[in-house]
Amino acid sequence: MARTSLFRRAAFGIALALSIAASAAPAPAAIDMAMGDKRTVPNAPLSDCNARAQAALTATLQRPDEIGDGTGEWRALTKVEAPATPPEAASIHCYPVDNGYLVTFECAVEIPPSTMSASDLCTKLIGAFDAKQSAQTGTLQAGGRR
Amino acid sequence: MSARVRFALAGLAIVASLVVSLAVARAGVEMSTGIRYAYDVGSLDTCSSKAKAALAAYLQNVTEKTPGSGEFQAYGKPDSSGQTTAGAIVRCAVVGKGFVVTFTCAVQKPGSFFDADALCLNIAHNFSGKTETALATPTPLPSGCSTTNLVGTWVSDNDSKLILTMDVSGGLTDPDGVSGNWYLVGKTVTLTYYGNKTMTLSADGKHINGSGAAYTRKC
Repeated sequence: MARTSLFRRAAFGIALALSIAASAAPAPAAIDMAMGDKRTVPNAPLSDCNARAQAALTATLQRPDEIGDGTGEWRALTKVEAPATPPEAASIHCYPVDNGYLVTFECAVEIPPSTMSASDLCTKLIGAFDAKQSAQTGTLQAGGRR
Repeated sequence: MSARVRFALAGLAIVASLVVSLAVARAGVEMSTGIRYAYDVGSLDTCSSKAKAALAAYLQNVTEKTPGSGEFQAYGKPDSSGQTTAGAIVRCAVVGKGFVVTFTCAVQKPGSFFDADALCLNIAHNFSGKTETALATPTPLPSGCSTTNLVGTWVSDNDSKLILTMDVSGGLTDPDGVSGNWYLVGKTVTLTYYGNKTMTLSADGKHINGSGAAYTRKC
């Protein structure tokens, strides 16, 4: 009786694990990319953009790398444990314009495994960029054709 | 512990390891950014037309974020499963009397045959008119009776059960799992299989003969 019960439990376990395995099997994945709205921030130094970019990427993904010192080009990937590869990545470009700067946001995700679209990631990133208030900046202006 | 229970536990262990291995095998994103050109003189229209052309040279379905924005995005051709494994964004912005343009690329790894840096460098070089290099593509398996390689299945003319499978890397195996190598220079074949044999490939690429052996390729 006890043996039968144990066997049933084991069989149930196998069935459960198989269903998990089936769901874990990699479905065809695809790249999704998005552009966040670019912004022009007047009366602010490039260092302000850099600080906000780092803070936004760190809050959204993880601590970013600057692609070349002083370039204002920042990139971060989702933090994952090796050997897994990151399913989300984002970049922020800061560029000086007049006495302010221009900033753009780009996002890329792999769906699956990411459950978030690239557009959602960029929205989150821009929210984090805006949340990092600067003492030097005034109001943000939506970018566009000048 | 009964045999049935042991069997069940062994099954559980196998399935659990399968779950773990599948969990870490998922694809991820590789992103390239950092290439930026600044032009002191030039219009947004100039930048836009170059950006569209550069993206179209490597990807497809180029779309502009909003008409006249100068911000473009494109994706790679879908793979056999209908999914795209590469994409890129080129953004133009007016600065003074000129413009600045940035390049951002992403590829799926594993999945894409080329990396994001190579894609972005080529798109940027197409934009600026610099030298482009060919992106990596899947190597097609040779087919038919090629006279430039011995890839394929070869049946011994003396023993139909002796079948040699020759691969793209110059290896061969027989039905017993015995391995060897093949090498082809012109029409001269060196077959290393139970010793070295020097043989000759026929003009139609279908037969090799020499050193007391003869094989015919299935093609």
